[in-house]
Amino acid sequence: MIPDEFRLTESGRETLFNLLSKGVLGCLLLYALFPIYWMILSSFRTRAEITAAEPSILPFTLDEAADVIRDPSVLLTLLEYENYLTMWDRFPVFDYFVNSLVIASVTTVFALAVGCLGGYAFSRYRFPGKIGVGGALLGTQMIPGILILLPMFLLFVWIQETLAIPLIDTYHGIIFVYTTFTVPVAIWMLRGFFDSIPNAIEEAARVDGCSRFQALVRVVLPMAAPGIAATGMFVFLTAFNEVLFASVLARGDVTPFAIGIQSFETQTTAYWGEMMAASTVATAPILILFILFQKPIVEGLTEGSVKQ
Amino acid sequence: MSRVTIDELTKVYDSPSGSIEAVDDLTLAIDDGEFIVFVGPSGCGKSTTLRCIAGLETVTDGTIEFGAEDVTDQKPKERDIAMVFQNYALYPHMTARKNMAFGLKMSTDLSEDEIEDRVEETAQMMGIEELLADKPKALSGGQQQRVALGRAIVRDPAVFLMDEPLSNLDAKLRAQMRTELQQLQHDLDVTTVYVTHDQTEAMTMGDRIVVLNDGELQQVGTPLECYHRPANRFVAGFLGSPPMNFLPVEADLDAGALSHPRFSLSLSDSIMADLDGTELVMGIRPEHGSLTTTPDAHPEPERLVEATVTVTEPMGDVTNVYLDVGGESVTVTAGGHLGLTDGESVWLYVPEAKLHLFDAETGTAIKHSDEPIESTRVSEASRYAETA
Repeated sequence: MIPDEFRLTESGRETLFNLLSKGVLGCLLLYALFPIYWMILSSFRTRAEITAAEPSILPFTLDEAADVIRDPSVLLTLLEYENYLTMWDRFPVFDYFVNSLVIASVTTVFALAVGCLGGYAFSRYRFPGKIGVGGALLGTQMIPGILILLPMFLLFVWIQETLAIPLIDTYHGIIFVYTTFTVPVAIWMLRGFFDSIPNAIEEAARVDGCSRFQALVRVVLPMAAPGIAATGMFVFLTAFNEVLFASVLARGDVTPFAIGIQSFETQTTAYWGEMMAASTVATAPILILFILFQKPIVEGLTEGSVKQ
Repeated sequence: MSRVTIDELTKVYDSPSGSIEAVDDLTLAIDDGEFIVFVGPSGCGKSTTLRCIAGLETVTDGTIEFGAEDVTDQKPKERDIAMVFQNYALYPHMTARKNMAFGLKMSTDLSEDEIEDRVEETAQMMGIEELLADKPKALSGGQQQRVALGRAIVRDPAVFLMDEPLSNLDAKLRAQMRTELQQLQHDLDVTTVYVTHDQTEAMTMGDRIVVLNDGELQQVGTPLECYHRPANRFVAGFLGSPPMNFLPVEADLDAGALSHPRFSLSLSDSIMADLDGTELVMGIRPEHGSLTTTPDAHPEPERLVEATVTVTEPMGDVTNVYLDVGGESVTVTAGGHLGLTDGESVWLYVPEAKLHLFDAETGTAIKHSDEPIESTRVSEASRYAETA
């Protein structure tokens, strides 16, 4: 038994819980952010610094930091930004990035278009096989991608040979693959958002002179905008990050960034600095986009889960 | 403006557990410019009927006509209707102005300027000019309600449909909006179908009320008609607060009286002559009963019923007295403060003329009270003056 004088009061227990939970969250945050920090840090280092036996965790020595505080312009001389200049010449970084952007953007547009219509249908209509089809859509997410990689490749080869439609190493091929993967998730996510929009608002629009489709476009979709943004972000990141299928089905001219970056590691040398610089450059736009859309996305992710 | 004719309307919902008949063979003619109120308990089919008129539900059987035009299979947007929903259903991503303009934009060829003018005009009428730039989220419940009404009015439709539009407001605002809505409807003179489960709204607002239960039409009539001449026991019990008291009685034709285990009530021969069954239910409106503690002093002591006071509820102007009559509860609304104590013995008197009698099995009314019912139209003006 704990003596009474050592027992925590209600508020004391609360404070302790707060401290502990913040501590755990802080550790997790550190764990999540450290690779990003290391990426940016390494992008400003020479190869010697990066491959040193004991690389420094801090960007500067204490003396250097003191100099920077005294005169911020010193910072420019300390930063090793050569990686950012050389990477463009050594590898087609820009092409990789554009490929990723095209593939991810078009996938997002397709997945959202199908997802909105599909999610709306699941949310509002009763049709035969609704439960079965809905379950099957979810079921596709249970299958590990590696299992269907080879069949997919063979299917692409077969289509290419019999129908003369080139699919391997083309934009439309890989976009097709990503769209099929992301549409089920998009449908399920958007269905939840549509469910949270009261039927009466749509009915009001129909009484006000809209057809069902007009009511969807003019009233339901604007109301589901946070959900659509969240779903779009999810699809975009999924397509942008994908490596497995891209490594087999999207090489050559359409190589996306996630695959292209591997070429920084050649048989003889690993261009770590350039690789990190390229990664930083590729991450920045996504990060900015995410920060800009953070509010609607967070709202979107929590909406629908709570009945209003 | 338009006359609405509903002919043998039936709506059946199919569900996995079988089909549900929400509206059963409803026939009704609503006059041009009339304010008609559908009233009944939840699930009685009133909202379903309204939604069929709106075109939001497909009709299983029967027809709906606006004027001479059959609209049964028309889409909502083809019907020239405007609707006010229970939760207002304002478009949250649009300002009040855009909410009001939306219908005109979608359903008419009016220019932007003309739409703007009409929105301004309606907003002025509704007293919501200052709210036009706000989005629904920034408005209070009462203001949202006004915008929702404005959105319907600005359309200048042939028929207004209102689905419990006041039920989300607090009691005070509801009473105020009730009067205002009546006034508006009177001024606009547009055929209005109003759905409510609130019998006060039904009694005070409608030119006529339509009482529904279990998808079936119970009675159509002026509020006073339905109140004083209920077609059956359901209507009698549904309208009025506190509700009508019902006591099972047997007609003793030889003695010329209604007999109950605890009392016997003699009736005039003319009334007894009209009774065909013997199993009856006697109905007494709470306001028609009177109480006395000195039965000997009463002019008709033989027609008094002994009772015990269980609870008294002084409401200020009146007092609701709950009585126990042979194990059955009877409520009497008496004027002023009575000074009765719980458990006290009292004698209940009901004038013969105010008695209602119903067939015990079918519930059909056999005898009504003689309260006058013809005064609705005449009193309309004074009703406004009284409530304003």
